[in-house]
Formats: sequence, structure tokens, C-alpha cells
Amino acid sequence: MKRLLALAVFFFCVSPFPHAHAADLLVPKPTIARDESQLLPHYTTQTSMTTEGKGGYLHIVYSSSQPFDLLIAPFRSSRGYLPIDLSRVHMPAGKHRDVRIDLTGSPLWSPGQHKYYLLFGSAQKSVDTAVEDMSFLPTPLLQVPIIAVRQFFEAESYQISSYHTLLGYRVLTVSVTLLGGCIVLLTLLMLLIRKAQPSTLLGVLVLAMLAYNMRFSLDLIRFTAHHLQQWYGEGLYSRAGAVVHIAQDVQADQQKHSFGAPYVYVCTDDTNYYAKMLRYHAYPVTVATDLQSDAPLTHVLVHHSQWSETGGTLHCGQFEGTVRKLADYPDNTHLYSLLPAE
Amino acid sequence: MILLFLIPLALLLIEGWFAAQLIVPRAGKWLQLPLALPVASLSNALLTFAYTVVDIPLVPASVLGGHVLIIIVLFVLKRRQSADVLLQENGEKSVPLFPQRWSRFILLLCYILLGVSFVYSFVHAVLLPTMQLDSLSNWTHRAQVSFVDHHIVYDATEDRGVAKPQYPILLHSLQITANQLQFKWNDHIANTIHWLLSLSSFGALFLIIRRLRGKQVALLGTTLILSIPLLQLHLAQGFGDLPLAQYLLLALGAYAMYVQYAGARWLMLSAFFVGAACWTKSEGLFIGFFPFVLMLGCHWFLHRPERKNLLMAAGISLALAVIYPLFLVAKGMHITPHSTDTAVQFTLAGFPYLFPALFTNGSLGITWYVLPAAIVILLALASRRDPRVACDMLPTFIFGTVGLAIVLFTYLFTENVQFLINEESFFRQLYIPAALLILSCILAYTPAEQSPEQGHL
Repeated sequence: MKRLLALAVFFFCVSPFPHAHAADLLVPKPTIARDESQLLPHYTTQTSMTTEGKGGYLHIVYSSSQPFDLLIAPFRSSRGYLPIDLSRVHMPAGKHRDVRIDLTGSPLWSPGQHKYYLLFGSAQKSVDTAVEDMSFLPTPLLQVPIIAVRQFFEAESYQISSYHTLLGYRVLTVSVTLLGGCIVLLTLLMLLIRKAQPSTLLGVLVLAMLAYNMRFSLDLIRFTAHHLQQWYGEGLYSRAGAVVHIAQDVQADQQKHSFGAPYVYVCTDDTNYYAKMLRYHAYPVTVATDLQSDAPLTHVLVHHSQWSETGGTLHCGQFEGTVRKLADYPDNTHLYSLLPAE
Repeated sequence: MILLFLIPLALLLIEGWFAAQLIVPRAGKWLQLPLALPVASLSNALLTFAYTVVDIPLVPASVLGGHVLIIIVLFVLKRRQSADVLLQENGEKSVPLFPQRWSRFILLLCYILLGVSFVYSFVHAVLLPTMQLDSLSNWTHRAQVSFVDHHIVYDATEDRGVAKPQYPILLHSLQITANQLQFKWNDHIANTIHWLLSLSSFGALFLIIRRLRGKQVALLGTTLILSIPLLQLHLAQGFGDLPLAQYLLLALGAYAMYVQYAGARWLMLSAFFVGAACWTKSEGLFIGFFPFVLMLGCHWFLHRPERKNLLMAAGISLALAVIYPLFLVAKGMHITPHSTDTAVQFTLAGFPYLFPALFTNGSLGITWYVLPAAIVILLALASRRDPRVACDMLPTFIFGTVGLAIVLFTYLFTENVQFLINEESFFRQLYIPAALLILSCILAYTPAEQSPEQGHL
């Protein structure tokens, strides 16, 4: 037994791929799942492609004078990928850079063939990135169980849509709900064959429910710790970002100028969620994502959008005019006032 | 300023406590106390509705004054209550559910899991601000606009951000009352009062099960109901589905008390809770009231001498259920936000999505594997007249089963199929019958009757 174990460890350690590979290992980080939504407006230059292959690592050789981002998402089905599955790798600058991107972190990864959506994005207007080689590197078979365990403990993503549906856990692309359910039913079948007591059968069902809840409770603890840390540390809260503080700043500016009915234009390429959040927290302040209201505009909030500000003149969406910056917020949002300074 | 919230809260608790003492005088104060807020939320909704109909503004004098008046009336009625009804019902059973060696481990697990739910819900509902999308339009935002207007708003347009103005007003009115004495809308108070409603509802449910089946079953039952992932996530508040589920669970628990103790007052309380569900969300009418009446019908069939109680319960729930829909119709509004809810269309579009929704999605975890298996085991035992199954509790399965059938029919055979396909509201509706069926299983299994010579399935 000890020999077998030693042999396994030997093969695991000396396996030619990926450990012996000289390329730098880069681990993608989930984007939208960690509240870094709407990444695309940040990229002035971007190009996308799909690639298909078998293996746990994407090996890329490239040259680029500036660092850039690579967004990766595995296809859930032949129809395509979901934005929720996008993860990001920061690719360093260099000539003939040789990197391996770990694909096994995604619960949609398995040792079989997979199709990936790739997006190369840069905040720079001109880029000289050139991909010289791209291939998939195999994953040692002994690593697969470890990867499966790691995927099982990947957190369920906390989205605004989570209140409607939870995607659930996946291990090597298989739904844990399906897997767990089948295991429960097979266990019951085996116990029935062995003529177990009905109380034992019910006990198995109870334990299965509690076990699933233990796994989900782990995520609830993660959400709680993460949100507390965000809120009391940075003043941010998940997708709501800094909107509560922005609402307070708009109201404070209104009170300072004794202005009756503030009207905030939210300049955004995002959904109207941020504007709705602001409208609720700043009520009765008027908040709109277009400039068609008859009310005089008092504030502009720049959120996930293409914009520029030069010499006190702001260009963003439908707005162009002289403004005064009130505050910048850690969720990359900027509040401008059209009211005169004191 | 925020401490002034304690005044409306205290009024609601006293009012609910007095009302609970009047409705179920034999329940005992430890059960009447957690019933206080769920009961007071209904009386508060009815008071707010009365003010809306006669156009009285929702200001501290009217809202809090109205509650003081109700408390005085309840106090007088309570004093006149005859002493014999104040006798306590039989004490709770204390039955070990598991073998000694397992018991400690499972109970510890239940305490841990309930502790996680408590911490998660407290942090997200009480400490953190509102962020759920529907709260920003249909729920908390509508309550806020109504608070500022001093009237429940029925905006025809979304100019002020209020969508679906036909929503029943129990949750809105609770948030408005809790915010009285505040100069401006306080988001934390609005969410805290909903959190307290959840806490007291599940507390009351725990005590009801404890009274019926003992402490271990109560602990396990409450944990299992809260083990439905999406339901547990909703403990952070913001949507109406969880309070709807809470009221229906309480209605089922109260009905079980009626069956167990033959106390007609519990049946009345059950009817009140079904009515409260209809004042919480319009779905309460379809997955609460109709299954409740069918369950009473089954009870009528089995126990004919009790028909007077059953008729009265059906009457109470009907009266409470139809008031608000009639008001909406009189205002020229549709009774549900989606006018297509009741338009039946036979389509197969939803069927390919149903299997993944039930058996691979994470919203309800492995609930739809466990529940049917548990029900089959219990029915198999019941068919053999096994004493471990309380046959008088079997009609409680009608509540969840009919609710489930109505949810599936709505999402397969009406235009609501889109909400199954785009995974929007289907799972929120689905966890309600699932929670009711878990409670039925818990109520139907009676470990007390277990004997060593009992056989296999």
C-alpha cells in the first residue's frame, strides 16, 4: 500500500505536465461572481474568439508591450457561455511570454473536451499584443479528484438574480443536486433491499437534507463575512456598490444648497439596477437614466460608462456640460454636481 | 431616533399578544408571545386598509392611535374572557427521535445550521441596507413612497418607481407602521420589522411542533424547512415570498394543533393565517386559500360532527381572502400583477425546463429527491396502519400537494411559463409547497409510537 502511495506521489510530482512546464501559471479570478460586473466598458480595445480543446491548462505564448486582461468563459452548452461564468486573468507585458492559465477552477471544467470564449481587452487605445501560440495542456489523472473537491467548495455566486434562482454546485460539470439526489435514491434502494427499518430510510433522507444545507450554510457564512467586510471596510455592498453613500451625498448637497427637487442623471452602460438603488435610497430625489425629464438637472452620476472630464466639462452619455466633482467612490463611480460651489 | 422604533414595535407586540390570548387562550404565554407579531401584522394591515378606504392619512396619530384603541378593546375583551378557557392545554411531548448515540450529533448540527441562518439573516436584514431588486420597486420602495405620501399608493405609472401597485399591503403597512415616529424613512427599521416577523413566525412554528411532537422533532423540523436553500437565502428579507410561506406554515401548524387537541380556536387561528397570507401576496389566494379549503373539505368528509367549526374557518379565511381582491376590482385593477396569470394556454414549452428546474438546479437543493421519497415511505407505513404514522395528520399533505399542483399548472399552462424558462419566479413559488410538505412529513411521523417488533416496508 505504501509503495502504491509513493508511486502515485512520484507520478503526481514528476508528471511532465503541467508541473514540469516552464511557463508561468496564472489563475483566473471570477469577475461578475465577485461583483466586478460590467467589465467591458473599461476596455477601449478588445477582441474575442473561441477555442476548443481538452486539458486543464491553456498554454499561451504571446508578446505585448503593455499588460492586458484575458476574460475566459467555458460554454455551458452548444448555445454559448453565460456572463456569470466569466473569469479574468491579468496578462503581464513581455516578449514571447510563456504562460499557463489554470482552467480547472471553473466547476464547468472536466477532463473532456470543452469550448471556451476568450476576450482580450485593454484600456489602451493602441495595443501590439500578438498571440504566437495557443494550446491545451493535459491534467494529470491523479489531480482530477483534488480538482473535484476544490470545485465542490467553490462558492455559489451571489447575484441580484440569486433571489430568483441559485445555479447550484457543479463538480466536473455534473450538478451536485443531481449527483446528491441520485446517491440518496441509490442508498435508499440498497437499504430497501437489505430490509432496513423505515426509520433508517427516513434518517438517511434527513441526513441528506442536512448535509446539503451544511454545504450551503458554508456559502452563507462566506457571503456574510464578505459583505460585512465590504460594507464596514470599503463602504461597498455587493452589486449595490457605494450607492447608499452616494444617496447621502446627493441629499447633503441638496440640503447645503437648499435646493427643492434634485434630479440625478445616472450615466451608465449597465442595467437600470444602480439607478433603481439610488432612487430608493435617495427618495424623493428624482433619478433617471435619460435626460428627458422636465426637471432641472442637479447631479450627474457616472457609473460604468465611457466618459471624459476636461477643465470642468463632463461628457458622458447624453450629458455634456460644466460640472463640479463632488466625490469619487471605490466602485469606480463618480458624482458631479451642477449646483454652484459655496 | 432609531430607538423610537421600539414604541410601534411594543404596540404591535402587545396588540398581537392580546389577540393571540383571545384566539388561542389555552396555548400558553410562551407560544402566544411569538404568535404576537404574525397576528398583529394582520390587524395592522386591516387597520391600514380601513384608513385607505376612508382616506385617513397614515401619520403617527392615526396609526399608533388606532393601535392603542385596538389594544384597549382587546384588553376589555380579554378581561371578560371566562376563566375556564384559560386552562393550559396538555404539555408538550418529549420524545427522543433518534438513538442516543446519534441524537447529540444531529441536534448539534441543527443548532449550528439554525445559528448560521440567524447570523446570515440578522446581518443582511438588520445591519446591511436594502439591495434586492424587487424591494426597490414593488416592496420596500412602495412602502417608502406610501410613508412619504401618508397613504398607500396605487400609482398607475412607474414615474416614482412603484411597480405592481396591486400588491396586497400586509408587508407595506408593517414597514410603514414601524417607521412612524421617524422623521424620514429608515431602511434598517423597514427590514428589521420583516426580520422580526420571520423570527417570530419560525419561533412560533418551532413551539407548535414542540407542543405536538417534542423538542427534538421541533428542532429538526424547523431546521429542515430552513434547509431549502432559496428559502434560507430569502431570510435576508426584501421579497414577499418568505412571509407568505411563513403564514401558510403557521396556518398548517395551527390546523395540526386543532387536529391534535380538538381545539376549535386553533382552527380559527389557522383560518386567520390563511387570510394573512392573502394579504401578504396575491399568490396566497391560489396556493393558500384554495388548498386550505380543500383540506377542510377532506376533514369534513372524515369528521362530519365538526362541520360547524370547519364552516366557520372556511368563512373566516374566505372573508379575509376576498376583501382586498374586491377592493382592487372596485379600483379597476387586476388582482394579480400579471394579467396573464389566469389565462390558460396549453403549451409544451415549459416541459423541457421542468426536469432541470426540479432536479439539477440549486434553488431547492435535493428537496425534490428527498420529499417524494419521504412521502412514499410515510404513505406505505400508513397503508399498513403502522402506529408510527399519525393518520389524522395525513390530510395536511393536501395543503402542500394542491399548492404544488397549482404552482406547476401556473408555470406550465399559463403565460407564466416564461418565468420558468427564464428562471425568474418559479423557484420562489416552488419552495412554498416544498416547505409545507416538509412540515406535513414532520407532523405525520410519530416516533413516540415506535415499538421494537415493528417490521420493514
